[in-house]
Amino acid sequence: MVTCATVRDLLPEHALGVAASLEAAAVDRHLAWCAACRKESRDLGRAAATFAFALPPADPEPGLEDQVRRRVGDLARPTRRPHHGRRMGTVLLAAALVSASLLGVAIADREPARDQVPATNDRTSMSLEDFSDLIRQAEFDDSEAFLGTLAPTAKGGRAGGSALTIASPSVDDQVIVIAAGLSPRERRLPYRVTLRDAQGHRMRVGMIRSVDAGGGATVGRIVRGSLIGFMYVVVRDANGVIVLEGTLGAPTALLSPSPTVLRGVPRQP
Amino acid sequence: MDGRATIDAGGARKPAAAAEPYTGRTPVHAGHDGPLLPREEQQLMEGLLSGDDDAIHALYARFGRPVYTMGLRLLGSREAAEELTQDVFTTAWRKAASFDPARGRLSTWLMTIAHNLAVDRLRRETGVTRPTLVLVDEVPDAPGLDEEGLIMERDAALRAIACLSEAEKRLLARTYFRGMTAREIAETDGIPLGTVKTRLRSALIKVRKANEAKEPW
Repeated sequence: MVTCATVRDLLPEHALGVAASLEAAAVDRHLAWCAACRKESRDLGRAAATFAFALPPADPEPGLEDQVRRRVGDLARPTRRPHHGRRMGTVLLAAALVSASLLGVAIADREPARDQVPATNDRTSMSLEDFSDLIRQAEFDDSEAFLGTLAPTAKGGRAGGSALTIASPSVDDQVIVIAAGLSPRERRLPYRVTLRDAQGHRMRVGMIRSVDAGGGATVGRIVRGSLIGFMYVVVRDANGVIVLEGTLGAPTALLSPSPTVLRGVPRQP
Repeated sequence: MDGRATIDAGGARKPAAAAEPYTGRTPVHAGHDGPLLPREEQQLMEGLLSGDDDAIHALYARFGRPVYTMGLRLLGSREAAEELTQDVFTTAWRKAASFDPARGRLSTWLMTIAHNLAVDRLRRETGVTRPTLVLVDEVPDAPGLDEEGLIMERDAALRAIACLSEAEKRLLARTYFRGMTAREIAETDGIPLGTVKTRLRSALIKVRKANEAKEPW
């Protein structure tokens, strides 16, 4: 339980946007119910934002507004969210990325301090459980979720990971891959994450350009096409060498008490 | 015109009415130059959420340039600044439901999103050349600005920051513009972490008090 005193100590860095991920998350949780700290946070945030308005303005290219309008328009287009599915999907992806960041994973958030990065196995286990929680909590309507762990190949060292895909006939499909224990050496970066189906068709998920202190990274993608059938996840290093791979399955095993899929990634006490 | 508080693109204020939910039928026009009222901010965000072109245009006209400027200053390239600007508006769309005008101004909310995204990227990406430290006292005047709102906002910001000592300006600039944590500053300067935190807090409170004098509502 974080106290008001602790939060007040963290608020200046939180307002300036440089608090570590775990600290920022703890502050945010506290602010959700503490009105006094929330007011302090708002005031300090307003003070910090003052710096943004003190800068001499720079002029963007004229076409930037069109790009902004197009991107927001794409998100808000009614045909892309027939019910609440699109928003729920977006929320789910965002929630998963937030979960990933809370675990100290770098792509979606800033790097946490080294001593705040959980061990690889622990993080993998935690991310699987977080995925499971998301699946349990989300209203999927007609969506299907597929979940699995990623195991290191001979060249993968101590790496590990997990992946989640959500496929739906009515909303955008999405995929989230969390990896940990990847080598941070420059010659291994960037890592490329792809999905593959049984016929050998590939779908790009994303590129990992940097990893955190624990070799962690998260990539996610919202896919306009269908992810049905893309059950194999592969992570290659910059040389094309496969370092992580795994097969996705229906998450029923994860949602039950059975630890089948979690075997090999014991959760730390 | 249904009586909703709207502002036309020419800058003339139209009669304001009680706030009501944005229906998507009535456009929210590009704004006037002064600060937005809370209900205007709420309507713009509802317009953004529904993908209303006029609302997006109004928001971009008002905040696109400050967001882009921040991206350029923190990330150091036009490409990165343009990408950041797009990300800020899509993030604002995703978080629109969490915006509450009773809890703070839209400008602060958007610039906080922009700053957090920029700092995240600054700290995350290797190989990105960090821009030269931007100190507020190095900021030149910007003659030729034609948006009254931006001028007012910047003048007020400069006045607020003027209350800081040089050391406080430098300290806040290192965190805000370079993304340095209190711990990093403490280690670099060889001073206790608690001292850095105290100074950060003290400097922000000074700016806050200066801001209180200029708040329109």
